[in-house]
Amino acid sequence: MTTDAGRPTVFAVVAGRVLAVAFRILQRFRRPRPIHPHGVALSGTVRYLTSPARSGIAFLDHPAAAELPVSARVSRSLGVPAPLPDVIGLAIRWDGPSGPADLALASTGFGVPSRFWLAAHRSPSRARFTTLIPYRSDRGPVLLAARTIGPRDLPSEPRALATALTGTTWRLRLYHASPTGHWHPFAIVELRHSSTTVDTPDRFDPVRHQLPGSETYNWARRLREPSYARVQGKTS
Amino acid sequence: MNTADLLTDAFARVSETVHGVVDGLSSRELMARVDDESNTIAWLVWHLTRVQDDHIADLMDTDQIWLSAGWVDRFRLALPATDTGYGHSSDDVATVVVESPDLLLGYLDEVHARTAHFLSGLTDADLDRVVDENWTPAVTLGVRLVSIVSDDFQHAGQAAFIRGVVRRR
Repeated sequence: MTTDAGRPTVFAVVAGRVLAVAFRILQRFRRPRPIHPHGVALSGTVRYLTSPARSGIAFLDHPAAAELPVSARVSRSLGVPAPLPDVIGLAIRWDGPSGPADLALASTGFGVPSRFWLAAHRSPSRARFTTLIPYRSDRGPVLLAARTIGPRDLPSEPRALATALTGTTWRLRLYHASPTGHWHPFAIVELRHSSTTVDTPDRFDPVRHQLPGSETYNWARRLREPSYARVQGKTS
Repeated sequence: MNTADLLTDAFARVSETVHGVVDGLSSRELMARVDDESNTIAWLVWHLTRVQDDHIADLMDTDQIWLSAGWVDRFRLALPATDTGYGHSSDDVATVVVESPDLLLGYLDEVHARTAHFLSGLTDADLDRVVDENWTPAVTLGVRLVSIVSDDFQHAGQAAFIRGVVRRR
Protein backbone atom coordinates (compact mmCIF):
# COMPACT_ATOMS: atom_id res chain seq x y z
CA MET A 1 0.00 0.00 0.00
CA THR A 2 1.25 3.46 -0.76
CA THR A 3 0.14 6.84 0.37
CA ASP A 4 -0.10 10.26 -1.14
CA ALA A 5 0.65 11.81 2.23
CA GLY A 6 4.33 11.67 1.30
CA ARG A 7 4.00 13.80 -1.80
CA PRO A 8 6.39 12.60 -4.49
CA THR A 9 9.03 15.13 -5.28
CA VAL A 10 10.41 15.84 -8.68
CA PHE A 11 13.75 14.73 -7.33
CA ALA A 12 12.45 11.28 -6.38
CA VAL A 13 10.82 10.78 -9.78
CA VAL A 14 13.95 11.85 -11.65
CA ALA A 15 16.26 9.88 -9.38
CA GLY A 16 14.05 6.81 -9.72
CA ARG A 17 14.22 6.99 -13.50
CA VAL A 18 17.96 7.56 -13.46
CA LEU A 19 18.40 4.48 -11.26
CA ALA A 20 16.17 2.44 -13.57
CA VAL A 21 18.27 3.44 -16.59
CA ALA A 22 21.47 2.63 -14.74
CA PHE A 23 20.11 -0.77 -13.76
CA ARG A 24 18.98 -1.44 -17.35
CA ILE A 25 22.50 -0.77 -18.60
CA LEU A 26 23.97 -2.94 -15.86
CA GLN A 27 21.53 -5.70 -16.68
CA ARG A 28 22.96 -6.00 -20.19
CA PHE A 29 26.18 -7.23 -18.63
CA ARG A 30 24.80 -8.95 -15.60
CA ARG A 31 21.82 -11.26 -15.75
CA PRO A 32 19.53 -11.91 -14.13
CA ARG A 33 20.48 -9.58 -11.28
CA PRO A 34 22.32 -6.34 -12.16
CA ILE A 35 23.04 -5.73 -8.49
CA HIS A 36 23.28 -8.18 -5.64
CA PRO A 37 24.23 -10.76 -8.30
CA HIS A 38 25.37 -13.47 -5.93
CA GLY A 39 23.96 -14.31 -2.56
CA VAL A 40 23.42 -16.97 0.02
CA ALA A 41 20.03 -18.46 0.84
CA LEU A 42 19.29 -18.59 4.53
CA SER A 43 16.45 -19.75 6.72
CA GLY A 44 15.67 -19.40 10.37
CA THR A 45 13.45 -17.69 12.89
CA VAL A 46 12.56 -14.29 14.27
CA ARG A 47 11.96 -14.26 18.01
CA TYR A 48 10.10 -11.17 19.18
CA LEU A 49 11.01 -9.33 22.35
CA THR A 50 8.47 -7.74 24.65
CA SER A 51 9.97 -4.33 24.00
CA PRO A 52 8.20 -1.41 25.63
CA ALA A 53 8.91 0.73 22.57
CA ARG A 54 6.43 0.39 19.69
CA SER A 55 7.48 0.88 16.08
CA GLY A 56 4.01 1.84 14.86
CA ILE A 57 4.07 -1.08 12.38
CA ALA A 58 1.41 -3.55 13.48
CA PHE A 59 3.16 -6.53 11.88
CA LEU A 60 6.16 -5.98 14.16
CA ASP A 61 4.38 -4.70 17.25
CA HIS A 62 1.74 -7.44 17.34
CA PRO A 63 3.30 -10.53 15.73
CA ALA A 64 1.17 -13.62 15.13
CA ALA A 65 3.43 -15.66 17.40
CA ALA A 66 6.38 -15.10 19.70
CA GLU A 67 8.58 -16.81 17.13
CA LEU A 68 8.06 -16.97 13.36
CA PRO A 69 9.95 -18.75 10.58
CA VAL A 70 11.69 -16.62 7.95
CA SER A 71 13.79 -17.05 4.85
CA ALA A 72 16.57 -14.64 3.96
CA ARG A 73 19.26 -13.78 1.45
CA VAL A 74 22.57 -12.06 2.12
CA SER A 75 24.45 -10.67 -0.85
CA ARG A 76 27.22 -8.38 -2.02
CA SER A 77 25.55 -5.55 -3.89
CA LEU A 78 28.19 -4.66 -6.44
CA GLY A 79 29.52 -8.17 -6.58
CA VAL A 80 33.18 -7.18 -6.51
CA PRO A 81 35.30 -10.18 -5.57
CA ALA A 82 36.01 -10.89 -1.91
CA PRO A 83 37.98 -9.92 0.10
CA LEU A 84 37.34 -6.48 -1.36
CA PRO A 85 34.76 -4.60 0.71
CA ASP A 86 31.27 -4.29 -0.73
CA VAL A 87 27.91 -2.93 0.31
CA ILE A 88 26.15 -5.92 1.81
CA GLY A 89 22.46 -6.58 1.45
CA LEU A 90 20.31 -8.60 3.82
CA ALA A 91 16.73 -9.41 2.83
CA ILE A 92 14.35 -11.16 5.20
CA ARG A 93 10.99 -12.68 4.23
CA TRP A 94 8.06 -13.68 6.37
CA ASP A 95 5.59 -15.97 4.59
CA GLY A 96 2.05 -15.51 5.79
CA PRO A 97 -1.49 -16.34 4.69
CA SER A 98 -1.74 -13.00 2.88
CA GLY A 99 1.54 -13.53 1.03
CA PRO A 100 5.16 -12.68 1.68
CA ALA A 101 6.35 -9.68 3.64
CA ASP A 102 9.87 -8.54 2.78
CA LEU A 103 12.36 -6.47 4.69
CA ALA A 104 15.36 -5.21 2.68
CA LEU A 105 18.39 -3.94 4.54
CA ALA A 106 21.74 -2.63 3.35
CA SER A 107 24.99 -2.06 5.18
CA THR A 108 25.15 1.50 6.47
CA GLY A 109 26.23 3.36 9.53
CA PHE A 110 24.07 3.35 12.65
CA GLY A 111 24.34 6.98 13.68
CA VAL A 112 22.83 10.15 12.31
CA PRO A 113 23.29 10.82 9.44
CA SER A 114 25.38 7.71 8.66
CA ARG A 115 22.29 5.47 8.88
CA PHE A 116 21.24 7.07 5.59
CA TRP A 117 24.31 6.24 3.56
CA LEU A 118 25.75 2.99 2.33
CA ALA A 119 28.92 1.56 3.83
CA ALA A 120 31.13 -1.14 2.36
CA HIS A 121 32.29 -4.01 4.55
CA ARG A 122 34.40 -7.14 4.25
CA SER A 123 32.28 -9.22 6.62
CA PRO A 124 28.49 -9.27 6.88
CA SER A 125 28.75 -9.78 10.62
CA ARG A 126 30.81 -6.61 10.99
CA ALA A 127 28.22 -4.58 9.09
CA ARG A 128 25.26 -2.78 10.53
CA PHE A 129 22.18 -2.72 8.37
CA THR A 130 19.32 -0.27 7.93
CA THR A 131 16.43 0.18 5.55
CA LEU A 132 17.95 3.52 4.45
CA ILE A 133 14.47 4.79 3.60
CA PRO A 134 11.86 5.11 6.34
CA TYR A 135 8.51 3.37 6.35
CA ARG A 136 5.39 5.35 7.09
CA SER A 137 3.88 4.00 10.29
CA ASP A 138 1.18 4.96 12.75
CA ARG A 139 3.87 6.71 14.77
CA GLY A 140 5.42 8.54 11.83
CA PRO A 141 8.50 7.66 9.79
CA VAL A 142 10.34 4.62 11.11
CA LEU A 143 13.60 2.99 10.08
CA LEU A 144 14.38 -0.67 10.67
CA ALA A 145 17.85 -2.02 11.29
CA ALA A 146 19.88 -5.10 12.17
CA ARG A 147 23.12 -5.57 14.05
CA THR A 148 25.01 -8.83 14.47
CA ILE A 149 25.16 -10.40 17.90
CA GLY A 150 27.46 -13.16 16.69
CA PRO A 151 29.58 -14.66 15.27
CA ARG A 152 31.99 -11.82 14.64
CA ASP A 153 33.87 -12.66 11.48
CA LEU A 154 31.67 -14.31 8.90
CA PRO A 155 33.17 -14.31 5.39
CA SER A 156 31.32 -12.40 2.69
CA GLU A 157 32.29 -14.57 -0.31
CA PRO A 158 29.04 -16.49 -0.97
CA ARG A 159 30.38 -20.05 -0.97
CA ALA A 160 32.53 -19.46 2.08
CA LEU A 161 29.61 -17.80 3.86
CA ALA A 162 27.26 -20.66 2.96
CA THR A 163 29.75 -23.15 4.35
CA ALA A 164 30.23 -21.14 7.54
CA LEU A 165 26.49 -20.81 8.12
CA THR A 166 25.94 -24.51 7.59
CA GLY A 167 27.74 -25.18 10.83
CA THR A 168 26.90 -22.10 12.85
CA THR A 169 24.00 -19.71 13.41
CA TRP A 170 24.13 -16.05 12.42
CA ARG A 171 22.32 -14.18 15.16
CA LEU A 172 21.22 -10.56 14.72
CA ARG A 173 19.17 -8.11 16.71
CA LEU A 174 16.46 -6.15 14.89
CA TYR A 175 15.77 -2.53 15.78
CA HIS A 176 13.39 0.27 14.94
CA ALA A 177 13.94 4.01 15.28
CA SER A 178 12.62 7.32 14.11
CA PRO A 179 14.91 8.81 11.44
CA THR A 180 17.01 10.65 14.03
CA GLY A 181 16.06 8.66 17.12
CA HIS A 182 17.61 5.92 19.20
CA TRP A 183 17.45 2.31 18.10
CA HIS A 184 14.98 0.14 19.99
CA PRO A 185 15.60 -3.62 19.82
CA PHE A 186 12.44 -5.59 19.08
CA ALA A 187 13.48 -9.06 17.88
CA ILE A 188 16.29 -11.58 17.54
CA VAL A 189 16.90 -13.22 14.16
CA GLU A 190 18.69 -16.57 13.84
CA LEU A 191 19.77 -17.63 10.36
CA ARG A 192 21.50 -20.68 8.92
CA HIS A 193 22.24 -22.01 5.46
CA SER A 194 20.43 -25.28 4.93
CA SER A 195 19.75 -25.26 1.19
CA THR A 196 21.41 -27.63 -1.24
CA THR A 197 22.26 -24.65 -3.45
CA VAL A 198 24.19 -21.61 -2.30
CA ASP A 199 21.78 -18.99 -3.67
CA THR A 200 18.02 -18.73 -4.06
CA PRO A 201 15.99 -17.72 -7.11
CA ASP A 202 13.57 -15.86 -4.83
CA ARG A 203 13.31 -12.12 -5.44
CA PHE A 204 12.78 -9.93 -2.41
CA ASP A 205 10.75 -6.77 -3.00
CA PRO A 206 9.96 -4.56 0.00
CA VAL A 207 7.78 -2.28 -2.13
CA ARG A 208 5.43 -4.96 -3.46
CA HIS A 209 5.66 -7.19 -0.40
CA GLN A 210 5.31 -4.59 2.30
CA LEU A 211 5.27 -5.36 5.99
CA PRO A 212 1.58 -5.32 6.96
CA GLY A 213 0.74 -2.14 8.81
CA SER A 214 3.48 -0.17 7.11
CA GLU A 215 3.23 2.12 4.12
CA THR A 216 5.74 3.36 1.61
CA TYR A 217 6.05 7.09 1.21
CA ASN A 218 5.10 8.02 -2.30
CA TRP A 219 8.46 9.67 -2.89
CA ALA A 220 10.16 6.47 -1.77
CA ARG A 221 8.02 4.36 -4.07
CA ARG A 222 8.81 6.68 -6.97
CA LEU A 223 12.47 6.36 -6.15
CA ARG A 224 12.62 2.58 -5.78
CA GLU A 225 9.87 1.08 -7.91
CA PRO A 226 11.29 1.73 -11.40
CA SER A 227 14.55 0.01 -10.60
CA TYR A 228 12.88 -2.89 -8.80
CA ALA A 229 10.57 -3.32 -11.79
CA ARG A 230 13.57 -3.25 -14.11
CA VAL A 231 15.60 -5.70 -12.10
CA GLN A 232 12.75 -8.08 -11.46
CA GLY A 233 11.20 -7.87 -14.92
CA LYS A 234 7.94 -6.26 -13.86
CA THR A 235 6.13 -3.19 -15.05
CA SER A 236 5.63 -0.43 -12.53
CA MET B 1 27.63 10.09 19.35
CA ASN B 2 26.18 11.37 22.61
CA THR B 3 26.39 9.80 26.06
CA ALA B 4 23.20 7.80 25.65
CA ASP B 5 24.53 6.39 22.36
CA LEU B 6 27.77 5.44 24.07
CA LEU B 7 25.99 3.64 26.88
CA THR B 8 23.62 1.95 24.45
CA ASP B 9 26.59 0.60 22.51
CA ALA B 10 28.27 -0.59 25.71
CA PHE B 11 25.20 -2.53 26.83
CA ALA B 12 24.79 -3.98 23.33
CA ARG B 13 28.35 -5.25 23.55
CA VAL B 14 27.63 -6.87 26.90
CA SER B 15 24.82 -8.77 25.23
CA GLU B 16 26.95 -9.69 22.23
CA THR B 17 29.77 -10.90 24.47
CA VAL B 18 27.43 -13.07 26.51
CA HIS B 19 25.84 -14.54 23.40
CA GLY B 20 29.29 -15.47 22.17
CA VAL B 21 30.21 -17.04 25.50
CA VAL B 22 27.21 -19.33 25.93
CA ASP B 23 26.45 -20.10 22.30
CA GLY B 24 26.61 -23.83 21.70
CA LEU B 25 27.37 -24.80 25.29
CA SER B 26 25.88 -27.96 26.75
CA SER B 27 24.19 -28.11 30.13
CA ARG B 28 27.30 -29.79 31.50
CA GLU B 29 29.50 -26.97 30.24
CA LEU B 30 27.14 -24.30 31.59
CA MET B 31 27.39 -25.91 35.03
CA ALA B 32 31.13 -26.67 34.91
CA ARG B 33 33.46 -25.28 37.59
CA VAL B 34 37.13 -24.53 37.25
CA ASP B 35 37.60 -25.68 40.85
CA ASP B 36 35.30 -26.65 43.71
CA GLU B 37 34.53 -23.07 44.70
CA SER B 38 34.42 -21.20 41.41
CA ASN B 39 31.33 -19.78 39.78
CA THR B 40 29.71 -21.49 36.82
CA ILE B 41 28.98 -19.91 33.45
CA ALA B 42 25.28 -20.38 34.13
CA TRP B 43 25.52 -18.55 37.44
CA LEU B 44 27.65 -15.71 36.02
CA VAL B 45 25.31 -15.03 33.11
CA TRP B 46 22.21 -15.36 35.27
CA HIS B 47 23.71 -13.03 37.89
CA LEU B 48 24.90 -10.33 35.47
CA THR B 49 21.44 -10.30 33.89
CA ARG B 50 19.71 -10.20 37.25
CA VAL B 51 21.86 -7.24 38.30
CA GLN B 52 21.07 -5.34 35.10
CA ASP B 53 17.38 -6.16 35.43
CA ASP B 54 17.24 -5.20 39.11
CA HIS B 55 19.20 -1.96 38.77
CA ILE B 56 17.54 -0.69 35.58
CA ALA B 57 14.09 -1.51 36.97
CA ASP B 58 14.99 0.46 40.07
CA LEU B 59 16.13 3.43 37.97
CA MET B 60 12.92 3.28 35.96
CA ASP B 61 10.80 2.72 39.07
CA THR B 62 9.22 -0.30 37.46
CA ASP B 63 9.03 -4.07 37.98
CA GLN B 64 11.89 -6.42 37.26
CA ILE B 65 11.40 -8.40 34.05
CA TRP B 66 12.42 -11.45 36.10
CA LEU B 67 9.19 -11.12 38.04
CA SER B 68 6.81 -9.30 35.69
CA ALA B 69 7.49 -11.44 32.61
CA GLY B 70 7.60 -14.76 34.43
CA TRP B 71 11.28 -15.61 34.01
CA VAL B 72 11.40 -16.59 37.67
CA ASP B 73 8.92 -19.38 36.84
CA ARG B 74 10.82 -20.50 33.76
CA PHE B 75 14.13 -20.80 35.59
CA ARG B 76 12.51 -22.50 38.62
CA LEU B 77 15.54 -21.94 40.84
CA ALA B 78 15.59 -22.97 44.48
CA LEU B 79 16.18 -19.37 45.52
CA PRO B 80 14.03 -16.49 46.77
CA ALA B 81 12.18 -14.86 43.89
CA THR B 82 13.97 -11.54 44.28
CA ASP B 83 17.46 -13.03 44.63
CA THR B 84 20.01 -11.46 42.29
CA GLY B 85 22.97 -13.61 43.31
CA TYR B 86 24.63 -10.91 45.40
CA GLY B 87 26.64 -12.53 48.22
CA HIS B 88 26.04 -16.07 47.03
CA SER B 89 28.01 -18.92 48.56
CA SER B 90 29.40 -21.82 46.59
CA ASP B 91 26.32 -23.85 47.52
CA ASP B 92 24.05 -21.05 46.29
CA VAL B 93 25.91 -20.98 43.00
CA ALA B 94 25.18 -24.68 42.58
CA THR B 95 21.44 -24.03 42.81
CA VAL B 96 21.49 -22.03 39.58
CA VAL B 97 20.88 -25.01 37.33
CA VAL B 98 20.29 -24.17 33.67
CA GLU B 99 19.74 -26.81 31.00
CA SER B 100 20.11 -24.67 27.89
CA PRO B 101 21.75 -21.41 26.74
CA ASP B 102 18.39 -20.41 25.25
CA LEU B 103 16.89 -19.75 28.67
CA LEU B 104 19.78 -17.51 29.72
CA LEU B 105 19.83 -15.66 26.41
CA GLY B 106 16.05 -15.26 26.29
CA TYR B 107 16.10 -13.50 29.65
CA LEU B 108 19.15 -11.43 28.73
CA ASP B 109 17.61 -10.32 25.41
CA GLU B 110 14.47 -9.09 27.17
CA VAL B 111 16.44 -7.23 29.82
CA HIS B 112 18.71 -5.71 27.19
CA ALA B 113 15.74 -4.46 25.16
CA ARG B 114 14.31 -2.70 28.21
CA THR B 115 17.74 -1.22 29.04
CA ALA B 116 18.08 0.12 25.49
CA HIS B 117 14.62 1.65 25.78
CA PHE B 118 15.56 3.33 29.05
CA LEU B 119 18.81 4.70 27.66
CA SER B 120 17.06 6.08 24.58
CA GLY B 121 15.26 8.61 26.74
CA LEU B 122 18.34 9.92 28.56
CA THR B 123 19.92 13.32 28.14
CA ASP B 124 23.32 14.30 29.46
CA ALA B 125 21.62 16.39 32.16
CA ASP B 126 19.87 13.27 33.47
CA LEU B 127 23.19 11.61 34.25
CA ASP B 128 23.90 13.99 37.13
CA ARG B 129 20.69 13.06 38.94
CA VAL B 130 21.38 11.44 42.31
CA VAL B 131 19.81 7.98 42.41
CA ASP B 132 21.29 6.52 45.61
CA GLU B 133 22.22 8.48 48.73
CA ASN B 134 23.44 5.45 50.66
CA TRP B 135 26.98 6.07 49.44
CA THR B 136 29.47 8.91 49.86
CA PRO B 137 29.55 10.62 47.51
CA ALA B 138 25.96 9.93 46.51
CA VAL B 139 25.56 7.79 43.39
CA THR B 140 24.39 9.60 40.27
CA LEU B 141 22.57 7.99 37.38
CA GLY B 142 25.71 8.17 35.23
CA VAL B 143 27.82 6.46 37.87
CA ARG B 144 25.17 3.78 38.42
CA LEU B 145 24.98 2.98 34.70
CA VAL B 146 28.75 2.72 34.38
CA SER B 147 28.76 0.51 37.47
CA ILE B 148 26.23 -1.85 35.88
CA VAL B 149 28.21 -2.01 32.63
CA SER B 150 31.40 -2.65 34.57
CA ASP B 151 29.79 -5.44 36.61
CA ASP B 152 28.30 -7.01 33.50
CA PHE B 153 31.56 -6.94 31.56
CA GLN B 154 33.54 -8.40 34.45
CA HIS B 155 31.16 -11.34 34.77
CA ALA B 156 30.94 -11.81 31.01
CA GLY B 157 34.73 -11.92 30.88
CA GLN B 158 34.85 -14.43 33.73
CA ALA B 159 32.33 -16.60 31.90
CA ALA B 160 34.41 -16.35 28.72
CA PHE B 161 37.48 -17.48 30.67
CA ILE B 162 35.63 -20.49 32.07
CA ARG B 163 34.40 -21.39 28.61
CA GLY B 164 37.99 -21.37 27.39
CA VAL B 165 39.11 -23.60 30.24
CA VAL B 166 36.20 -26.01 29.82
CA ARG B 167 36.67 -26.30 26.08
CA ARG B 168 40.37 -27.11 26.53
CA ARG B 169 39.80 -29.94 28.94
